[in-house]
Amino acid sequence: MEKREMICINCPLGCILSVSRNEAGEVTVSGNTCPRGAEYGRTELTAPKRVLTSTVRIQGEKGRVVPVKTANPVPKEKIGDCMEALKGAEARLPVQIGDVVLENVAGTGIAVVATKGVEKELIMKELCSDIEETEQWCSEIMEHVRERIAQGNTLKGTGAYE
Amino acid sequence: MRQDIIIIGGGPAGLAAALAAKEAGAEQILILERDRELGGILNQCIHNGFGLHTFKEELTGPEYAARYIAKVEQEKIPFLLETIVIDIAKAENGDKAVTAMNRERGLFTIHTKAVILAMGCRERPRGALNIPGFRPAGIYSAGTAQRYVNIEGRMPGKEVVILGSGDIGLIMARRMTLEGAKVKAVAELMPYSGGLKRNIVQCLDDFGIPLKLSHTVVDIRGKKRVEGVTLAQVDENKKPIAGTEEYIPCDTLLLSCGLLPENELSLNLGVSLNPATSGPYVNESLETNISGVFACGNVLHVHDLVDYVSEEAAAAGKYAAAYVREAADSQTREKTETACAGSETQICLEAAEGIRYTVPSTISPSHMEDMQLVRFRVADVYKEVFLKVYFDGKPVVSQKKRVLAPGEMEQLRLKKEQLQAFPDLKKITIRIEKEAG
Ligand SMILES: Cc1cc2nc3c(=O)[nH]c(=O)nc-3n(C[C@H](O)[C@H](O)[C@H](O)COP(=O)(O)OP(=O)(O)OC[C@H]3O[C@@H](n4cnc5c(N)ncnc54)[C@H](O)[C@@H]3O)c2cc1C
Ligand code: SF4
Repeated sequence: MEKREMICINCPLGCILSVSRNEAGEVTVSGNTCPRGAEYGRTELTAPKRVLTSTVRIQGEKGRVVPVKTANPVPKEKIGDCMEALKGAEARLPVQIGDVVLENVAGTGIAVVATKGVEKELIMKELCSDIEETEQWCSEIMEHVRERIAQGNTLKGTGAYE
Repeated sequence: MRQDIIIIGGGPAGLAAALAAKEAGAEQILILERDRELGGILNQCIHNGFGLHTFKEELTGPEYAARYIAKVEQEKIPFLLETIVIDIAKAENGDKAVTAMNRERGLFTIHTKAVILAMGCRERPRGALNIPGFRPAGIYSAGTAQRYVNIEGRMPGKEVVILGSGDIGLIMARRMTLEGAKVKAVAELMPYSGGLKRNIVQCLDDFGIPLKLSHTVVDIRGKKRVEGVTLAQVDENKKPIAGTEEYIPCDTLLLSCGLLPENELSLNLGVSLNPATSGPYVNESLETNISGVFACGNVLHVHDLVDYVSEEAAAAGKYAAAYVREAADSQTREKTETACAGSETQICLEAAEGIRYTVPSTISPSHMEDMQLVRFRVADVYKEVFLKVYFDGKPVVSQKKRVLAPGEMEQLRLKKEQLQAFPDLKKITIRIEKEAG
């Protein structure tokens, strides 16, 4: 008889499950609020799986990524291999939600799909707003500097602007 | 042009409110969003776990947002992007004047009958954290790090310590580990985590990342860049205990110290805020003390489940549409008293022992629907207790609870008929008790 207490992670309710396996190998689950919890308890005891979410680079767009997920849960011990495979993957613009970015990731038989649509236009906008952010940041610093000067402080030797 | 309803913020709350208002018959609806796209914080929450209750499937943040954005586009509800609202003021005939700014139109003001506040929340500023020492590079809020990694595709560092075990911190612990960083510890000042249980399991336990409860950062080493931090255990008064210090070398410190509703606009308008939530006091219709101004989502109180945000926002949208209809009939609508000042027409909800707050904080029986949802958070971790509800001191509800934790929002349903059985009801008290009684 094998028994384990675990928290169902299928949804944020996080029900506390108690899962046990008898000599005959039958698994029983209690404490679950819905059938997904029973299913989770069973696989978590026998072969734990996770949906992996990450990002992949966008081809030709330096420093831009698109969010992705495995279309189905992958075995937990394969997560490292999947991440490795995603490092080499690239998505092509325009990306539509659900587009397959990588087939059969790390030999799991499961595809990796995009979870967001990305168009060229959006990337251009992102670049623009980065400049704005930089400007705002500079003006905040300048305001701070002016304040310090007004207080009669010198800006040297504080370590703050090294 | 004069609008019926202006919605401030195009996150999940704003989108659901717009759709519900439209469905309830409101005509002129406009969403104002300061970001370059709709979807709010969901755009950077690329992990899954959204929408199980609403869609019966587990979506990632951007996927959940995409469903609502598609509906808003289908319903042809107008929205303006990269448009920041800078002021809301009272105008003639009970209207509100919303002043906003964007690149095409500069500064402009639109009049509207109703406003729905859906501005979400932002991270607590790090100044409030009070860590002594320098401010070297390598200290980020967890949300900023999340944006770097998930939207801009760059890693803030390689060896990480996280202070605060709120959901963003937990999720970033996993995310940075997957991207090859070594997350050495998550330190939490409180004796319990502020995040969801499921996130502790799948973000920390799955990767063997230690969660150090009742710990804080007492020192940061490094002048230009973080070189390491010293953690120490704290006592019941949150004071570091001498001799428990532990130095951990790292190049990055993430701060995940909670979220604060973004209510500067509301304050300027004269909306009264509940100190327990930093969000507005609202009545059963999610209306603030200023009639015609409604609130929903994280600007009202911080939610951990987007499904509840959408549900709450849909209610706000529907009530706002009803307000617009009624306002058309009569200019004088019963004034709402949400701060609970012993009003004749409203029942006051009291958050007693163990309950930090309730939303709503008042109920007007004449406006309530057959079933009223009351959402609340508890003040501490409680095991094997009873949630009790009293109507003017008389016990009405007693529910056994296995576990209650501040990290998880709770809810309670009150039926109209329950309230009608008490015609002169003034006060509903909610509290946690050890005994079934
Ligand atoms: C890190 C993190 C992880 C989470 N994980 C989960 C999860 O796994 N499952 C789950 O169900 N829920 C999760 N949640 C909770 C859920 O996503 C949020 O509660 C929800 O997105 C809040 O929606 P909102 O519309 O109220 O706020 P937001 O999404 O923050 O939207 C507010 C919008 O208002 C805009 N705005 C603000 N001020 C102005 C202004 N002055 N003018 C114009 N626009 C303005 C902002 O730009 C923003 O787009 C998570 C939340 C966080 C922060
Ligand atoms: S058992 Fe069902 S309701 Fe409970 S956490 Fe799991 S999925 Fe959610």
